[in-house]
Amino acid sequence: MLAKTFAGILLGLPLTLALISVVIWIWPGSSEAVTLPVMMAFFPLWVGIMGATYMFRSGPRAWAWLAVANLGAFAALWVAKHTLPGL
Amino acid sequence: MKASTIRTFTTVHTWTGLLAGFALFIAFYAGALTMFHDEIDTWAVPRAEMARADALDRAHVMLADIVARHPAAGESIGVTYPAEHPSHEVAAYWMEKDGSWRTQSLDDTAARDAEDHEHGLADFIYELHYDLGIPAIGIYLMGVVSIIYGLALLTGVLIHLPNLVREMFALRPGHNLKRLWQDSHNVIGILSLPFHIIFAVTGALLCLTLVMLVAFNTVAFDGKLMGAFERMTSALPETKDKGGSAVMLTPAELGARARQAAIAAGAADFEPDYMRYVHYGHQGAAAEVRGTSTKTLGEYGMVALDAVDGHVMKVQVTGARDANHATYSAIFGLHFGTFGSLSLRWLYFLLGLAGAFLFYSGNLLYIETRRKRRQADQPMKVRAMATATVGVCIGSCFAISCTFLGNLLGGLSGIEATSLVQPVCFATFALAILWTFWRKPAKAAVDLLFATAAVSVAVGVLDIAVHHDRLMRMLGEGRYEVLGLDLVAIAMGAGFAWLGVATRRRAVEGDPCSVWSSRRRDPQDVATKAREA
Repeated sequence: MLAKTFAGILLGLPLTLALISVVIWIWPGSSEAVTLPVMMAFFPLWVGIMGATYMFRSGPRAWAWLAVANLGAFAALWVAKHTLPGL
Repeated sequence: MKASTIRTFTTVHTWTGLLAGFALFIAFYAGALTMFHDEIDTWAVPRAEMARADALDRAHVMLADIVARHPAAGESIGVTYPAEHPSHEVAAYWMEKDGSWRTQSLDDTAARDAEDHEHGLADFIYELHYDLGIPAIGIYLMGVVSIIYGLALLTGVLIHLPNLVREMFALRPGHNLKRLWQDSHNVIGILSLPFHIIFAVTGALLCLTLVMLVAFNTVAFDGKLMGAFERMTSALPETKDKGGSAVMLTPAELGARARQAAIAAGAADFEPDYMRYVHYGHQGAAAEVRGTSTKTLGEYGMVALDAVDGHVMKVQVTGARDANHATYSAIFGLHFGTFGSLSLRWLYFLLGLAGAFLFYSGNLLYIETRRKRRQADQPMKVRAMATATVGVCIGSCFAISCTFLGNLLGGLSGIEATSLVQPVCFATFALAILWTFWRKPAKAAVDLLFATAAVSVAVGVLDIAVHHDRLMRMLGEGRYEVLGLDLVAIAMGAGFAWLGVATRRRAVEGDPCSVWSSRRRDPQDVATKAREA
């Protein structure tokens, strides 16, 4: 259970950062126009991910899946940064 | 949901409650009182308000004088507009070249450090609400507490979900006291859930916005976010210092023009409360006036004007602002309960007290769940939790009431009340903690509740007795804030006394196999009870 808790805190944080950033980057039209409203979702999303992490069958699974999700989210962010105008 | 999942979430709920509950109790109790910040300030500083008609003219002269003596202030200098509570100062704020913030109020003869100011009672209670009185890091600590609080809310709702509809309004008084506590914890948690979601989200944002921005700035936006944040929260467009010299329009004039522009843009009204100049005294100077409007979720709005000719450059007020400004303003409106009238503030006050009760009852449920039903001696963790709950929760109520009393008595004996509030609060809080250790929780809870009741009633009664001339004068003007505070203090005193009576009954007559029993440990009595159980 402690393993899942730390997975939710330590891997949930960068995952939330990346997911929120991707939404801002790929927003059609101006990204800057929606930056603050989307960022409002930062803490609720992180808390949601922390809560959802307890649904994994084991600690190692939680770490593994969240690591994969992080890779995916940061890859998407990298692509967005290199193809879209951003702020 | 599987039973094992519910068990996991119950464990998370317990631990998050343990970690955040005490801080949240103080934050909600002090926060509920802060709904009446200006009323407390009026009550605490019994001198007539200095809303002198010429305050803004003097501010205009002061600004020119400051910029002449501190060239760095010319780049950007802000000033507050007069407000109707006594410790409010019309003061200028600016940043020196070394990055330190300086301030000077109308009554000052020279600049001072902006951090270096004495806090009156109202400001002290407000700060207690968001930093627990811990300097520098307290606010970040409360930000972390807000995140844990969010997780506690989420898990609490999930645990309760299977019974949510069936037990929506269930409150079952009777033999099973734990059931009653559990019901009241659930019913308050569910019925005030929207309020708690608002506070978990806005509380975290208000404490940790800077940290969050730095993280996003580094990870995702390659250093461009800070400049964008400035654009997203300010009305000032890009301005350029064109050198030379120019006569600045006065804060009064700019405030009046900003109000005109805001109302023309659709705001119901616009009350300027703060403004700042950039490039003061130079060609190209601009001003941004911040003010509050009613009949909107986010009361704060901004108007940018040319500080030389006064033409409106940009309006960001309710009805005429973009999503970023609306969101930023709504965070404050939702947290401070400024989107309604007096009745909304009362609702926030009551929900705030109910929130404090939610965290208190959570601790009681922790104790009750782990109680040994067949023996008088309770496990260490139950005794520790009971001691901490009584000491911190009731102790903070006691300390806050004592701070009000200290402010009142200090004023009478000629001591500057602002130098008194913090030591009185911390000393009485420490006293309450020591008392709880010494007397054990069952007796200490009764003592502290009665002491809080006595002090609270004394706050109201003494103020009426000592400052009755002020009371009559204000009532004559049709202002009820001082009388209101006195009456609320007396009513809360009565409430604490009622809790004290109930707690004493529990300690004397209740089940002896509990940390809440103060009965002498009569082995036979315990044995009888154990058989009954």
